[in-house]
Amino acid sequence: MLLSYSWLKEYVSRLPALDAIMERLSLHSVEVEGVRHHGTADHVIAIDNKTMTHRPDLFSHTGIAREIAAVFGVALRYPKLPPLPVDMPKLRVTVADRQACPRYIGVAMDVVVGPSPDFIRKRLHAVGVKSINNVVDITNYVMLEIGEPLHAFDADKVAGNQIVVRHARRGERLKILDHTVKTLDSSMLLIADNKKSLAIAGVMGGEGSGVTDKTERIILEAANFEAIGIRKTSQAVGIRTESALRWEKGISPVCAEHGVRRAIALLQQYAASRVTAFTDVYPKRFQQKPVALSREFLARLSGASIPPRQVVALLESLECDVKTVSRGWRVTPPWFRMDLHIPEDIVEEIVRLYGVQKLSEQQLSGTLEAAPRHEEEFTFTFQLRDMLAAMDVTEVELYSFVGKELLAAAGEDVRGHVEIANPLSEDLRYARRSLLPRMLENVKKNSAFRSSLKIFEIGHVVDARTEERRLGIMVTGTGDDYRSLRGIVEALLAKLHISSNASVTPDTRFENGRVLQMHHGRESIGILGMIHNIAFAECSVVALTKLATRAFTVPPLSPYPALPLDLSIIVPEHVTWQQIENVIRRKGGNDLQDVVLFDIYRGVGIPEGTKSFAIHLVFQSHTETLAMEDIEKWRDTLMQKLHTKFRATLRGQKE
Amino acid sequence: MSIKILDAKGLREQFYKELAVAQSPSELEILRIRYLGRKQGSVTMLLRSLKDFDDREKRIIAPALQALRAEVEEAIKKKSHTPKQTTALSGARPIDVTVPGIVPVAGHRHPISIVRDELLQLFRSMGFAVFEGPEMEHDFYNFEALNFPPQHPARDIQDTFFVATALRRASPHGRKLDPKKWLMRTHTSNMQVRLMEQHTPPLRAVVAGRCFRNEATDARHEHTFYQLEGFVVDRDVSVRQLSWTLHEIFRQLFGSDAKVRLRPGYFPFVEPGYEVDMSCAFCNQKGCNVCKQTGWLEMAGAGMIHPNVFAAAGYPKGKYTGFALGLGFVRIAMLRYNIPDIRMFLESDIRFLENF
Repeated sequence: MLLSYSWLKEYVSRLPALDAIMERLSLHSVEVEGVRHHGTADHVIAIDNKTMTHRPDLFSHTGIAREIAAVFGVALRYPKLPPLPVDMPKLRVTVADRQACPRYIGVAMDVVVGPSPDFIRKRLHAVGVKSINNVVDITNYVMLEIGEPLHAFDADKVAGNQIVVRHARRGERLKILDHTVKTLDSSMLLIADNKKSLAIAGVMGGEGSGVTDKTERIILEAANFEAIGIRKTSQAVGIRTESALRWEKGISPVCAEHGVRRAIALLQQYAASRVTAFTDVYPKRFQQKPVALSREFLARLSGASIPPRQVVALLESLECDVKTVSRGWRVTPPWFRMDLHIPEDIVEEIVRLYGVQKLSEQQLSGTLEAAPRHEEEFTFTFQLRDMLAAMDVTEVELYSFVGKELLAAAGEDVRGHVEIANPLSEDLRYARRSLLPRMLENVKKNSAFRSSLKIFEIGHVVDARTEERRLGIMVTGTGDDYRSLRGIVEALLAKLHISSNASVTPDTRFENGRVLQMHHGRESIGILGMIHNIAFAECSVVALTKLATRAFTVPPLSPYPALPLDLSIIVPEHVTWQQIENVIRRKGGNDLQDVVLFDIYRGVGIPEGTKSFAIHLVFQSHTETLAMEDIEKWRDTLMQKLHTKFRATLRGQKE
Repeated sequence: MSIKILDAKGLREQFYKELAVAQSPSELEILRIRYLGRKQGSVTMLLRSLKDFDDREKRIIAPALQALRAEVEEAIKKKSHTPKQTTALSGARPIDVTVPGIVPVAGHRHPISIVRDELLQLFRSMGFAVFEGPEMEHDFYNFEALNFPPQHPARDIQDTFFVATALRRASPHGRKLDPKKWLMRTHTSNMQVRLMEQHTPPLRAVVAGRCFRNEATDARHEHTFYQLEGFVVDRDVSVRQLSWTLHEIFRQLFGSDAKVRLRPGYFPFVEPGYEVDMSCAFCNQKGCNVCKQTGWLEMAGAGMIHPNVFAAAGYPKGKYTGFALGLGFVRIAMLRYNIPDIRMFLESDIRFLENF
C-alpha cells in the first residue's frame, strides 16, 4: 500500500523524519518496503501490509498514523467528525441478510458535482488514484483516510429511491464500472433497488448507477460487509478492488460510522452537499470483548519483565482501555481492532511496542534425552547418501510431479497414479509412483554432457494407499551398465550387512519384460533391470533401514592356506550365470570361500551359440590344509555334473 | 617328520630376520638364492627331502613347505618393489613432482542434501529430534490444525496443489480424515500437530523436507522447494529463547558476525509472530542488489505457537508454551554458493552437481 508522507502529517502533529519512520515502523509495526520522491514536496512510502490479513486498520492513512503515534510516542490528530444527522427523513433501506451485511448506512444527499479541491486531488495522485470528480474522489479519499470503503449512487438511477441489500438471483447480470458484464449467482451479495441490481456489494458499483457530472442527487453508502462472502465473490467475478481487499480482512462495523461522518463533512464542504434523508440499519451493535492478561503469563510467554506501568502505557498508546486487576489487566480493544481476542494477542502488542529487539537472548534449556526419537528411516538416508557418493554415484533431486508423456517414455501408465486437481501444467498432473520416469529423463538430458553417468535419488513416491521413500540408481555408458549397477547395489548391501537372494520376476517396463528382484526372506529389497539400454535399480528405503545390521559376526581368519582354482566353463547361450553358480556353491560346501565371475567371453575359439564363464574360485578350510589334488578331483566331479545338466564343458578340454 | 616341521618353522624365522637386514637389490637376490636357489636353497632342499617320507606324512608336510616357498618368494618380491629403495642405488629416473595427480573416483552429494544435512546436524546437536514427514498431506494437518481460518488466502486454489484423487489413508490416532481433502504440503509446519499429538512435551523437533506451491517457475520461484521447521514445546518456553535459538542458527551458518533481527509478522499458527532478517553478508549491510539496499535479508518466519494449535494437538489449555521457526534452505544454498537460478536445483544438470 502507498502512503503520502505529507498527507500523514495531517494526523501526526510531530511526524518523525522519513528515515526514522522507515527504520522503526518495520521494527515495531509493519514493514516499510521503500520510499521515493513524489514531486518536489512529498514522498511516497510503500508499506508491505499484504500479509497482515488480520489488521484491516492498517489499510488507511489514519491507521498507519496511529501506529506511528504509538511507536514514536507522539500525539495522533484524528480528523474531526461532525455528529450524525438527526431528525432526518428515513431513507428506505432493506437488508435481507444480516450476516452478510451487519450494518448499512444510507444517506441521501443533494450534490453539486465538480472538480475536487487541490489537496484531495494531490493526495489521491500521490498514492496512484485517479481523480474523477469531487463526489467520487471523496468516497475514495475517505477510504484511504479512514479505511471505510464508501460508494455513491446517482439517486435518480435508483428506482423507488430505496436500497435493497440482497443476494443475487442465479443468472442475474450486471454491467459494472469497468464496463464488463458479470453473471452473478446466489452466493453473491448485491446492492439493488426495488427493480434491478445496482452494485456488487463491497466489490464494484454498476455502470448504470454511477456518479457522473450530470448527477444532482446521490445515495451515499457506508456499510459493513462480512469478510468471507466478499472474498468469495471477489474471486468468483475475478476482480479484486481496493474495497474488496479491505472487506476481506474483516473491517469493524463502527468504521462505517466514522466513514460516513467524515464523508458527509467533506461533501458539505466541497460539493455543496445537503443531507436529505438518512438511515442506519444496524440491528446488532458490535461490542468489543475485554481480554484478561495476567502478569505471570506476560512474563512467561515473553521471558521478560516489563514494568506494569509501561505495559499500561504501551497498550493505551494503541487506544486500548486498560484496567489493572489483581492478577494483571483487563484490556478492551479499541473499535478498530478486530484481531485481539486472547492473551497471546495482547502479549504481541506489548512486546512489539516495547521492542522485541530489546529482549535479551535466553539460552534454550531442558532435560537431555539419551535417545531422541528421530524418524529413523530419514536419518538412515544420510548414511546411504554418503555411501553411494563414495561409490562414484552422484545424487540428483528431481520433481515429484510427472505427466502422461513422461510416464509413457518410461513404460508407465497414468493408471494408479494420484492426480493433482490444479496442476501447474499438464506435464505436472500426477504424483510420481516411481523414481524411474524422472531419472530416465535426467539421464537422457545429461548424456549430452557426459558419456558415462551414475546417478541416484532418494525421494518419496506415492500411490492411493501410501507414501514411501525409495532409492533409485541409474547407470549408463560404463561399458557394462547392468553389472556396474548390480555391483553398486551389492556393495551397498554388503556395507549394510544385508544378506539377500535374487530371483527373476516380470515387469513390463523393462527389457525382456523382466527384472531381477532382490529380497531378504519374504521382504522385498528392490528391483534391477535394463530400460532403453540404461540400467536402473529401485530399492525400498524402509526395507534397507529395517534390514541393515550394525552388529555382525566377524568370521575367524583361517590359519590354513587358501587354494585358488580358475575355471573357464563353456555353456550354451541360454544358460544363466545363476544356474551355474548354484551348482558350484552347492557342491563347494563350506570350504568354498569365494566365487567370482570375472569375464563372460563370446567369439573366436568357442562354438557358436555358446559363451564362456571365466570363474575364479577360492578354497580355504578352517580345520585343515587342503590339497591341490582334492581340489582338482572336485573340479572333475563338478564338470561332470555341469555337463549332465547343462552340456557345459571346460575350455581347453575336449568334450 | 616332526623335525622337518620344526626345521621349516625355524627356517621361516631365520628368513625374516635376514630379510629385515637386506636392503639393496643385490642383497635381496643373494637372500633369494640362499632360500630358494635350485641347487642349494634351504627351502628347496627341504622340499626335495620329502621323497624320503611316506604318503601320509607327505600329504601333511608338503602344503606347508609349498606355502613357505610361496611366502618367501612373495616377501622378497614385495621388498624389491618398496619405495624405500633409493634411486641412487638403483639408478632409476628422478621423479617429476609437478605432474598432476590421478584423482580418485567419487560421486557428488546434491547441494540441497548437503545444506540440509548441515542444518539438521546443527539442530541435532541442540537436542532436536529429526523428521521429514509426508509430502502428500491432509488439509487437517496442513491448515486446519494450524489455525488457518476456513477461507484464509493461503488455502486458496491459487497457492495450494490439491489432490483430485480420494485417498483412504490410515490416520494416526484414529483421526477421521476426509478422503477428498488431501493436498501437497505447502510447508513443513504440517508436522507440528502430527508430532505433538504423538508425544507429550518436552518436545524438540526439526523437520526438513519438500514443500509445494502452485506458483509459476522463474529464476527465483519454484513450485517445489525445501523448508526446515524447528519447534520446541515445554512448560515455559519464551520469546527470549526463540530469539537465542534464531541467533545461534544464523551465527553457526553464516559466522559469528551475523546479525539477526526480529520484527512483527503474521502467521496464523503463531502469536506473537515474527519475520526474521539476517544481516546481508554480501555487502556487509552497506546496501546492495541482493538485499535491495536494505542491508538485511529476509531469512525466516517464527513465533510462539498459537494456543489453537495446542488445542488441535489435544494439549490441556495453558499448560504448555512453545515456539516454532521456519526457513527455506534453498535460499541459504543460493546465497552460500552464489547460485543465480533456483531451477538449477531440481534440474540436476550433472555439470552443476559436479561442483559439490
